[in-house]
Amino acid sequence: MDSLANLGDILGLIAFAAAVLVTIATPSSEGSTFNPTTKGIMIAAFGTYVYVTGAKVLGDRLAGTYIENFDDYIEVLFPVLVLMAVFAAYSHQQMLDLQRSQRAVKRSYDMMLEIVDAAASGMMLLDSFGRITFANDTARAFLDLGETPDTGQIQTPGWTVKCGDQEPADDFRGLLLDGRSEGIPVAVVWPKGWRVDLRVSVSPLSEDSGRIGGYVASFERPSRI
Amino acid sequence: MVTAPPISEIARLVIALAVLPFIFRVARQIRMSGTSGPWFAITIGAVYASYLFTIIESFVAEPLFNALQHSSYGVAGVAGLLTAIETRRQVLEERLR
Repeated sequence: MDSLANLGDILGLIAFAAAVLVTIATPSSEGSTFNPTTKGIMIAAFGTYVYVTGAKVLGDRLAGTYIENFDDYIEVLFPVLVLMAVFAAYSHQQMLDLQRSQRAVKRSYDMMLEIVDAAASGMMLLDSFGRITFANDTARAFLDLGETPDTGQIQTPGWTVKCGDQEPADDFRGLLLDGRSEGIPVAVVWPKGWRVDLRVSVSPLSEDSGRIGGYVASFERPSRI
Repeated sequence: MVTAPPISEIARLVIALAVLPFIFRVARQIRMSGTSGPWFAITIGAVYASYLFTIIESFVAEPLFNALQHSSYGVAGVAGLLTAIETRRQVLEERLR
């Protein structure tokens, strides 16, 4: 029985020491579930048992020394280190999944933006006050829209907008209707006197709460007068 | 003769058992290809078995359970080594993709 016990200790020592070396030789990277943190903790976990089995193999030679007395306490680290290793791997996996989904969303957003910019129609997003928050390339070119460098907010060249019978305003507040509408007559007048007559279609955007969070407005390119 | 096991051995088993559900809960959610998962489970199982055998040997069949305890170290070591080798194989395969 004693020889079986000794064999187990020696086999354990050699195998755990080899496991430490193999883990050290395994490349880790931030782009993999086997990241440097997981690797470090795995080395520590296997190393714990190199110590424990090593102390058992040396046995009598260590009797009464700190090394022998510590092995019971060192052993308790193993399950805790294993938990830390799996948790580090799991957290890293979650982070990688999140980064992948963010990249997919960005690719999808960039593609939609290219489609919208390539459209011949002018397209705009209006906030709940009628201010332009987004305009595609056609709308930007046609309405002379610029952008504030710091904030990216859209700037108008100072034109006024008259929607139907409403009073002229410096934004599209006249388009803020409860439902979807098509062919609303809109006159845009530049400070220099240019005037453009548009037929605008507008559709409200609902937020998760059901409230209207903004509007999508689109128009075909007319000719300037 | 029956002797009470040292407090440290019981405390070690209690701590190990307290941590075990968390290890399984988190480990189940890690996507692993290949066989590193089963080898990892065998490593943990053998280590936990050694904790148990070392307490049992204080009550019954001391030579047998002492041998089983030390054999568990051997089993845990081999399974741990296979876990490390399989993990390395998976990591290298992942890098080639």
